Amino acid sequence: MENLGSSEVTRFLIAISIMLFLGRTFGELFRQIKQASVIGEIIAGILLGPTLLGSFFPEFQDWLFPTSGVLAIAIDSITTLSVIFLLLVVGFEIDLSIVLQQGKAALIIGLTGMMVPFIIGYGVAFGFPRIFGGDENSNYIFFFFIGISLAISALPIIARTLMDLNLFKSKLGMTIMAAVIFNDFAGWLVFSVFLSLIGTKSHSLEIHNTILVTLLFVMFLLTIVRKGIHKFLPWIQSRLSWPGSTISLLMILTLLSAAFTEVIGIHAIFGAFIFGIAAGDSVHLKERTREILNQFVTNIFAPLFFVSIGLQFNFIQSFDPVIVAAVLIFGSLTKIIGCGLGSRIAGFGKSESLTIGFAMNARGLLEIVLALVAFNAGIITSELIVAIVILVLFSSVTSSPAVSYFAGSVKIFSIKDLLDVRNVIFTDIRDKKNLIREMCNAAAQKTKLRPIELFTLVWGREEQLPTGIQNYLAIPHAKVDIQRPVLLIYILKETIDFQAFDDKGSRIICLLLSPANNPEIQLNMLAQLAEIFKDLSFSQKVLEMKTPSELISFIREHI
Amino acid sequence: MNFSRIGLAVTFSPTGVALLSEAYRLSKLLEADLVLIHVGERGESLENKLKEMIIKAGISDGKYDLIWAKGDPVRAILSAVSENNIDLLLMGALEKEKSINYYLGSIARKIMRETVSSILIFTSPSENPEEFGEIFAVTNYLEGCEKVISTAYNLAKVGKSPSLTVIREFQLPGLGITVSDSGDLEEIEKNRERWIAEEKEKLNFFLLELNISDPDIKKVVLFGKEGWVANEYAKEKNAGLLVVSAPKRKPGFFDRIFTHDFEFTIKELPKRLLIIK
Repeated sequence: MENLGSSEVTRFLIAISIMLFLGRTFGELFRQIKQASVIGEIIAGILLGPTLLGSFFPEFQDWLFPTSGVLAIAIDSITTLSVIFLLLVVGFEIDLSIVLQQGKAALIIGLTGMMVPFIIGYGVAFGFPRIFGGDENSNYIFFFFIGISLAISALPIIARTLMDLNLFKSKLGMTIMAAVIFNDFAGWLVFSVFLSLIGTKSHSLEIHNTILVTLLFVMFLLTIVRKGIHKFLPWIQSRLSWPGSTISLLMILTLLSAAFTEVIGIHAIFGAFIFGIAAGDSVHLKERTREILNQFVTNIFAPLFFVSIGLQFNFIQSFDPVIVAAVLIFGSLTKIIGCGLGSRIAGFGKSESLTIGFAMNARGLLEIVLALVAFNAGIITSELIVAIVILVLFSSVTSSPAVSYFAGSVKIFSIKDLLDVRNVIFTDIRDKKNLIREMCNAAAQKTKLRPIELFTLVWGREEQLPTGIQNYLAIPHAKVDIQRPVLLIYILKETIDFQAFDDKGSRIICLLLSPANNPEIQLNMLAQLAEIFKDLSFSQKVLEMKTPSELISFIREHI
Repeated sequence: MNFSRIGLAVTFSPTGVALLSEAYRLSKLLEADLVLIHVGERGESLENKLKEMIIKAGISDGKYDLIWAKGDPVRAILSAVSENNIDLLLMGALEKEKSINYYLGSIARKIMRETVSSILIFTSPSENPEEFGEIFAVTNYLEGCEKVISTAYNLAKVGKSPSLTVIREFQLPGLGITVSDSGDLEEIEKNRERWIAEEKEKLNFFLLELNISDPDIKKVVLFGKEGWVANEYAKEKNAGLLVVSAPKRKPGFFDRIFTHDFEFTIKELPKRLLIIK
């Protein structure tokens, strides 16, 4: 057996540690400025690769990261393992039951979000191959690649964006996640067909046989293997050391699955991804195991893989403005239009559809993996791969602000959004019924509802069960025919008895009107208000405020 | 109480008499009419056999209606339920079906999926029926969940159950993967705690909205796969009765393959399951 020599081992270890160090450092730097760490990791690779280090110190760069020889093979092996395990953890999050749970809306958005970019991408590449770096000899495999590379989204970046914007737990957030899951799953199935198209050149199976074996493999993994994991995981977790044995088992099965897909002519990463879906779905896979594996892969394998991209290409020499512009324009527009269209068909409003479109426009790991496979198979040029990396960086940076901008008009679950100086009144009303009538009259002007109907609803609710909470807070409320909730805050000079739990009487009266067609919004608002006023000292300070603007600023500062 | 006509699908299975006893006890407890449905060709020997079982269960004459239905058992039972305005159907079912039966759909599971009324399922009915014991009810704030909670509350009161626990379960797909993109475990844990606290507060208000302010009601928020976590929790706490909503649409084959919500609940049934329609 051939071994690496001592000097090669030394170079290998130095190279890996530099890749890891710079990748993690830049990843953390970008994390600090609220950007995806993958951007930092790719930039670290560009700095270490031929683009920068290679330009100034070509000999040193070649010594550390050679493009041929045993050291290059060793580094390539590590990055191949990295991407296999990365795809395993991405697969973990592809929970197909969520798509079924969320129903038609997620399916429609996922489907249009994939079909529109695919068809337009394929068509444009067919008509104008040069704008994507092709030529008159480009064939259907090239067109197919352009279509599918524009169609796939980036689940981790989208999940992160939704979490940052507090949209994760909303109905909109759940629909987006389900649509992305469907989009990625369907996209990868199509991707496997693409892999079989380019893979059959070097493998014994015919195209149709490869596709058939692939489908059988997917079905086998998602039914029998999935059931087997579900059955044996509790046994393994209770009888063997945990989480060590579970992690080892998952890694062994991932590698076997990856090896199988490599044998049948589609790339190893596809096997890892599908196995991730089968294993991640099990209710017996402990959250902690998943998190440990995620941490390990994210902090070790992900930086190595993303840095390795920059090592392979010269981003200045391979920068072609036409190709970059084409990928950015067609990549972004087709995705936003496709998902936005699907959202409109599924019944979402304009703002919600734009939010969904921009959220699903985020790209990441999968596009890069796909592009690398195509590049290694000689289907695309380095100019196109550079353009795709730029699309990933661009969409990662712009996704969150764009979603934030459009979600502004649909985000209806934060009390902060409802605070309005014009809706705060200081009053000396002492009678409960008069107070509620007065508040309903004011609310009617803002909602265009009839005051008497509003009063009947709010007073009826109050009579049925008084709405005093504690710490001087009372929240008379009703569900009415409106699109956005409305909050009016009245500060009383004297307390009125709303039968609060602490018998203190109420002086901070918040009239809350919420949409009748979504009962959960009312519960969200009530819960948030109760949380804000849970401390007596906070309520006392609110009562010390002299003007509406002072009061609103004070509450805003403390939410 | 919400139920005025209780139906029972009577079979000549080993648990037939026990189910009759359970149905009779419940009809008395809820002051509801009792309708017995048997799917099969009416004949003297079957009638006598049925009569024997009814007497053995201690049901007096004139305290029930007997309906003979024909055809496919699932369709026949569901038709009898709608035609006779039955608002609660009682059935026996295996706690867990063999895999093939589960995927193809047994009679009991098919009725649960396609139900036209509320259904109470017993996995181990007794000829000497007992009280429900601890009742657990699951809410998801969707249409119909108010009925789930108010029914569970009324049953707990009427049946003198030692406790009622209201469960809110929620899951967030893709949460783990946010770690891969600039997230950290501590942040996820903090968010998870915040969301659970929010849900607890919402649950309080939800019960208040239903005018249920009994301090003895336990409120539990569970994070995990919907349907599965509540089922596991109820089993762990030795629930006497689990109350859930009927599915909004009829679950299909794919819902069984990629199990979620209601399918988790009926995959491994608790001691007693009440599905509210």
